[in-house]
Amino acid sequence: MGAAMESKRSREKDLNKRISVARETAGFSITEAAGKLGFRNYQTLSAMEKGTRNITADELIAMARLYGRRLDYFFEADFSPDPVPLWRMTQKSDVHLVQRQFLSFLENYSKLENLLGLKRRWKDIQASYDREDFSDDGFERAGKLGVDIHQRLDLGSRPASNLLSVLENDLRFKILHLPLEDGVSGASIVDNALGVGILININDAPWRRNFDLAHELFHVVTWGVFSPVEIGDGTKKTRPEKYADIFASSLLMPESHLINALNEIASNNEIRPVDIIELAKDFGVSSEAVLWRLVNLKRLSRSKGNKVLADPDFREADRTMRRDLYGATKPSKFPSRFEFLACRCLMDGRISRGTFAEFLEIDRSEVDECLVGAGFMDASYEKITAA
Amino acid sequence: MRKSLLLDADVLIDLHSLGLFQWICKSYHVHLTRKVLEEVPFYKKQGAKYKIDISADVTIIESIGIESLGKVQNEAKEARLGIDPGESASIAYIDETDKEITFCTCDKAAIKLISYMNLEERSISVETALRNAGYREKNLYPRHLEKSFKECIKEGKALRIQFKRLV
Repeated sequence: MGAAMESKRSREKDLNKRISVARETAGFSITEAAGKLGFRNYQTLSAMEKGTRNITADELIAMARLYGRRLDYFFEADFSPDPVPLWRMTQKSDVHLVQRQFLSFLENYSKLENLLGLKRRWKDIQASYDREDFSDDGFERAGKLGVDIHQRLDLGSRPASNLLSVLENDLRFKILHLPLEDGVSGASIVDNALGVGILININDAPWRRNFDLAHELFHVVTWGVFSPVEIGDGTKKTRPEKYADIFASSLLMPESHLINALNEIASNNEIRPVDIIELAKDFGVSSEAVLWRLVNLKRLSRSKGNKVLADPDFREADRTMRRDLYGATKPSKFPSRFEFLACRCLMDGRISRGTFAEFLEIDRSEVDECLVGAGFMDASYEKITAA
Repeated sequence: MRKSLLLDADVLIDLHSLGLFQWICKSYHVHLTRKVLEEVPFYKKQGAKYKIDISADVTIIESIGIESLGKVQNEAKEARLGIDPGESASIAYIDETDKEITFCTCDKAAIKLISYMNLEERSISVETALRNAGYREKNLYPRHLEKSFKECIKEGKALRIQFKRLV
């Protein structure tokens, strides 16, 4: 009897600690959280976190929802801290909430894979490099790595057009598109339990998203080679960040294909600013990325490159020629593979309809429509609903 | 005396979209957990969304023990089933209460878990609940049928043998 009481107390203590950690990692102050949970004052929540007031099931469920946690988190025997993604931002931002959203997506995705017993393939892509490999000429190494990965993934002549699909479907990366604050372009993570996750800012232009994806791929491939401190959060161009840009350039603009395309459009071997913009559109990258790639390939002098970039007419022409492309193809928030696995789990009775609705962030009354839209409903059921 | 019936969120939505909620209310004393009531503000019929407002017709279950909820979560994890908090709270209530109440659900994963936890005697399919209330029409969805309910119970038993090594 004593042992049972002791075990109950220990579980309660664990629970109190977890609700406190869950709140903090979601970025809520105790006053904010108490307000959102509908408590009259913060002392109620504080007492729960300290273990001096009991928590009801409904209260815990409300906290799980607010803090972006699955209910399992509060009851699991193992309690390990959240893995930390590598962030890419041009200015300091509070990413607590969006980080939790990202991790929550990865947890849900992993849950679906585990329920279906699916294996992950991301380890195939990780390079067997160490720090020493980048010590002599890191830029050249990063460029070669881009060429190597381009070949291994069989990305073709215009890699930007199928990189997302190859990463999601062949390597089973978990890629989430969210509207992020200005100055935050994305994040990446490699974790044994969650697999590989990449977060991309859906508000960015398509060419920027392509480049970010390739940039994050470098960090995934070289995960563990550089420390998070060395890489930084993107607010400073650290050496690994520069390597990632070089890698992304060589991956998205394979030398032979870029030069072939250039030879086709440039007249008398002279590269005009408009050619750079055309190439950028063709390869799905920014004009600036093409320009620096041509400089690195010694097809354009650095001084001319700087001159073109400083020309306001070039900037204006770039904006005008790409205006229609800006919002043309926005990816959906969730990958289609994630939606497909959720449908499969629901149809197999591995997840409940409520879990399905939560994972796909839809109203519970829309579950059937969602299944029909994905082609997952029984023919007989369709007849009944139509009637 | 009317029997007590605990409904899950999907049954509540389906009964509304089929226009059968009042039929159930006439024959049963309907209970819902607070969580389920919050989860289902709407149902859909012929593409339009309608608000569900039933708090006057049902008994709301307010207090469910955290220990029971934890037990359901752990059992679901052991059985490799992903159960949402609303279903978990309903099953936790069924597990902890001594009251005569039957859980009515049409969710495959929830039915499997009920069976996994040996609670199937305290659960009922939508079809049976309606037939017991005298409803004889055949316009139910496949997930409401006693046949699919029994299949899930059987699958839950198989999971029990697989993961608990218990018959």
